[in-house]
Amino acid sequence: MRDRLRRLTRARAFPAAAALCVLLAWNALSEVRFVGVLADIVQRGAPVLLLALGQTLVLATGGVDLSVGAVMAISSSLAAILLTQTGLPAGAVIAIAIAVGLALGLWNGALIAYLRIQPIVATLVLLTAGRGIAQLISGGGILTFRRPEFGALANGSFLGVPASVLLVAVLYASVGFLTRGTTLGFHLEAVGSNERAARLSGLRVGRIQLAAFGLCGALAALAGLVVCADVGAADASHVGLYLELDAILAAVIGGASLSGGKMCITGALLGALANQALTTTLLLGGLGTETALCVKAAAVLLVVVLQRVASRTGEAQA
Amino acid sequence: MLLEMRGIGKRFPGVVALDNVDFDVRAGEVHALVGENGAGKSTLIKILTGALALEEGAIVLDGREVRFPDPRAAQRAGIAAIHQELTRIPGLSVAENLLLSREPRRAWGIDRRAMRELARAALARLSLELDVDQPIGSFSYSTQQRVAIARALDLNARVIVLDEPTASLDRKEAEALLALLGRLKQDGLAVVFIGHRLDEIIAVADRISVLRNGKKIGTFERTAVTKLELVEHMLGREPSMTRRVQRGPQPAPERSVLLEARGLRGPGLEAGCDVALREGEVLGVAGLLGSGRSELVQLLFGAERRSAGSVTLAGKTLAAGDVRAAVDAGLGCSPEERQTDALLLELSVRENLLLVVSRAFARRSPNAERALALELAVRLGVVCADLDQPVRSLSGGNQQKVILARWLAARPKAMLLDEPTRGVDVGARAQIEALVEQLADDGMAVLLVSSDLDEVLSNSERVLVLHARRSVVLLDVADASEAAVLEAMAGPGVERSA
Repeated sequence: MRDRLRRLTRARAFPAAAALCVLLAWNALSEVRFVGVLADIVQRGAPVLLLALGQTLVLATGGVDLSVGAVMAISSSLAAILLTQTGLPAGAVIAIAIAVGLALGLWNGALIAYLRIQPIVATLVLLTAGRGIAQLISGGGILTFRRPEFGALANGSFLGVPASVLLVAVLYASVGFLTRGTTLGFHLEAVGSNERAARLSGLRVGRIQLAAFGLCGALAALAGLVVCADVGAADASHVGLYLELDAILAAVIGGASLSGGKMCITGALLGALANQALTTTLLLGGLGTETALCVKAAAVLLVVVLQRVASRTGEAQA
Repeated sequence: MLLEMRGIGKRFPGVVALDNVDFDVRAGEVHALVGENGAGKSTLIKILTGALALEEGAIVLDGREVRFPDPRAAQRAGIAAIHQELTRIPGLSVAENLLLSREPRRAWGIDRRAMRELARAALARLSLELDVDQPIGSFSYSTQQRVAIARALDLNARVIVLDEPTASLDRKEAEALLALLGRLKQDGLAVVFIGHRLDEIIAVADRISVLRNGKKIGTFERTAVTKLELVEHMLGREPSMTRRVQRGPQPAPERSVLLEARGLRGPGLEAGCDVALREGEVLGVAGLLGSGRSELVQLLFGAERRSAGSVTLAGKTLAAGDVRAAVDAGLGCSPEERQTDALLLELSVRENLLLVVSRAFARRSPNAERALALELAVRLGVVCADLDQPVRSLSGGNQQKVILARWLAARPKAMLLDEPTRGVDVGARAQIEALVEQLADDGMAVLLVSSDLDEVLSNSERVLVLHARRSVVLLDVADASEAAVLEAMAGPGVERSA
């Protein structure tokens, strides 16, 4: 029992899980509409939850994807223009936008796997160009639309469960299966742990990197759709701005390592949720945005330091 | 006594790494430390050099008890460690590496001229003359090692700890290093020498301490102990592996050629090289460091892209620089550099065992994986507490077995083994050599590259000798004496300085 408890507290995602529990307990005690707050956290957190999921796959390979915010802008502008200018049904628009996100992710992956460009540089290219492309697509302004069947992506519900909660649950479950139920997760970690050894063992490293970046791009496109479905508009210059940093932060809080070789889907979920729960709690508590940001930074620092301490004592004992 | 370690103990969860070990070294002597992997040599040295905390026992330097909270403290006290993986910054110059963090300064910036002079003076103590402005990475391993020793002396080291210093050296370089140790000894330094090659240890050490399973078995005067006795002490059992396994000379031309290279050329291999590896044979590859031995393996396997020639496996041509094609055709390779080229250090033993057989996007079955990993670990005799522990925590011998096991799981037709017993203890080495023989008997074609001539000669039927990345001589072990192979390694004519 004590052994189990010790192993639990050593898990890399433990600080994130603990932080989330504390925040939820706080809200449960102080808020009358606790269930509402809970749904609110997931709903508002949905875009970053999706980004953190993709980022986790990329971080596992030892890469990083800085372009996800830009991909969100492209997908939301593209969706808005298709919804306003063509008669395509919402389902087709969603499919096209996700396909474009996938293609952009594969582009990143190809630069990294075949042209051997460092991930941070390769995705910086798309970070820079992406928002420009989004503005070219949308014509520069804010595109608004009224398409309830598209808006349902963010604001609908099924059997009383909000659509965005369902979406997040389904995607985490499927990517979780893809990475743990098949060899994909193992191979992502193998590439991140030692790319050369993976190649010399016969792994097709390039394809594995393409898979990680491709999935990350597709998930970013979906996150962009959720944002623009939520507000019924696409603003190419603001959608997803700086969210790549939130996504990396969430994955790191969840226990991912920037040096690769370690992946934890549950960690990404907990990290992103803890991140959003903290923001929501602080804002509900009446703190101004400026103060909230500072408190948040301090909390993140605390979590990361705790992780460091936990992994160090774990290593010393190993 | 310059340095004494008394009653040193170290415990890790579930393991007693060191149990009441005494160790001492005088000024002006070489004291060798030997033992199988896992005997506790590294742990003892890490405690001495401040890399691990002292928990039980005491370290006494010059009659005064000392404590080293970190490696810098040990360095300040005059204890320097030269590790097998040299600590240096390849891109910086020799002078910069020598004087790192204590560069001579001027009003602003670094006094380059003074730095060069200081560096030359430090090198002169070892009679070493180098262009100190060249990046250190451009020099050979043995030169870099000497620079590391020069740096240690320049830092006023009184005790120098050398961890397997000859492991990456060829015969001639190793001899030169041993001679250098003799000189350091005469200068009054205390040298702690950790090694596997007993011939060298007998040649250089004044006293020899043997560790086994965390305990000290004894300290012996060099003149009072034989090689055989040392092996017995290290293993704690009858050393059956000292018997040379002589495989019958079977040229067996009727056996078909499995792996064939013609006119193979590429980075590090300048002349077209022909190799014909028959099924069921062990073909040895000998050559000095830098002769192109490892490059030959890399080109055969596709790890490096060949610039000319062809490689076929069982009649199928392998695409240049395509490891996957080679693996699919039935080729396996255990590379020279285990840590950088083969192991996923942070991942578990289980995952490392399954790396080669795991197919992309295949459904995983935890039970089947566990069963296969266990079967492989048992078959190769991998010793570990738990298949889920990181492979990093295994000893060198067990890591090597993991690498061999992962390939055997894929049932290859031919295996390329590059230094399969380097940095491996005597027991594991015997197991690996027995395995190689077994594989060949079962029909596998094995290419065995080793810098240890004994190993090549005692395990293979024919030997391919490489010289200076060019000439290749094929000798039958039956009529190849050690002298003949050495002559081929040294190369034709007067050019013997490779």
